[in-house]
Amino acid sequence: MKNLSDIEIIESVKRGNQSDYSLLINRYKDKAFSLLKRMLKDPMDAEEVLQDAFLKAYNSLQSFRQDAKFSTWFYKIVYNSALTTLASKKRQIEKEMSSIEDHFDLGEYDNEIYSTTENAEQYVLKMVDKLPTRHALVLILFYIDGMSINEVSQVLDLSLVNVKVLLHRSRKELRDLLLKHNYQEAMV
Amino acid sequence: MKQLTDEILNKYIDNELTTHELDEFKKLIASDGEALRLLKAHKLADHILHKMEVAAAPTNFTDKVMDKIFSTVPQRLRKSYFVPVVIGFLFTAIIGVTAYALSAIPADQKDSSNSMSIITDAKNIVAEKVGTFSSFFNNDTILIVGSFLTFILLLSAYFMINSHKNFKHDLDKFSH
Repeated sequence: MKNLSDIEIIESVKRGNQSDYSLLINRYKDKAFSLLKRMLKDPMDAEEVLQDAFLKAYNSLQSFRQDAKFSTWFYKIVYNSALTTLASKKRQIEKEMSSIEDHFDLGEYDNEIYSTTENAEQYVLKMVDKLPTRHALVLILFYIDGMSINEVSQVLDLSLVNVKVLLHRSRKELRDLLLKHNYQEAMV
Repeated sequence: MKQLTDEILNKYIDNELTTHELDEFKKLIASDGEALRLLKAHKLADHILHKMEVAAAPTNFTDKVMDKIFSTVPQRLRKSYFVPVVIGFLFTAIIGVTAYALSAIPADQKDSSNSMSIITDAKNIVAEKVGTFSSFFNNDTILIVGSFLTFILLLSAYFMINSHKNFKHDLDKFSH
């Protein structure tokens, strides 16, 4: 049962086997929760929005067109639900979801994070937490969810070029910080 | 390729370099220490990002969502069956009345090829039966008794539906 594809599970749910929807929930809950925690900065809000997103997806399964991937469609629901929550709370939305042209500088966190981490991995992962929200979301969707640039652009409603800019800029920032501390020398 | 740019590094990481570009890239890395240093750091950043951890959703998350789904489904089902049942009832009633009217037409008239006369006869029979039915209710005693019985029936139906709703609600709570 666990090896069923997303489409097969959806077909089963549409035929009336509602409990099969739990397979989809188990498949996506952790990755989507990671995304929401990053966006909303609060685990309680993240859980609430994720529940809401799964319910919305369930209620809209009939309208799901199978020419798209379920994951892309579902993450779009998750992302839009999070944006709605952010907008309703008016919490840092302008600051967090700012234009991709906005400048950011991870250097201001460098001393604090470098002094509290023991290796390159810990250092980089903590630095990712300091990235502007949209940069971090692109990294999560690309690296954790394994989405293509095209899929990321569909979920975040950005152009392919903008997604590439966000991804490359984040990599460059992290690379420059690794260079600063000569972490690359440990690489074989 | 004279210089290693960010664009080329990202293309390399994303496997987007052409064979020719890749050859030039390798030559540059082999001859330029600074380019090698940049490449190592870039690859390290990419390697660590691949190891980003997934935050686990709260325990019982799936059960919570499924509970919400199950608690909303019966209501939706009830709504979706209401209209078809009412339409089905009306349709059956119409078919029933038509069939009765047609069966009440004398057999010798049915043989007639004139379909319009059959319809007229059917209409007359229905009108006649409705007339008999309404004259029956013109009697005052029957009207009072009928009204009283209708009132009792509606009251009973109300209490029965309410009791059924409560029972269903308790059952839903028990099963989820």
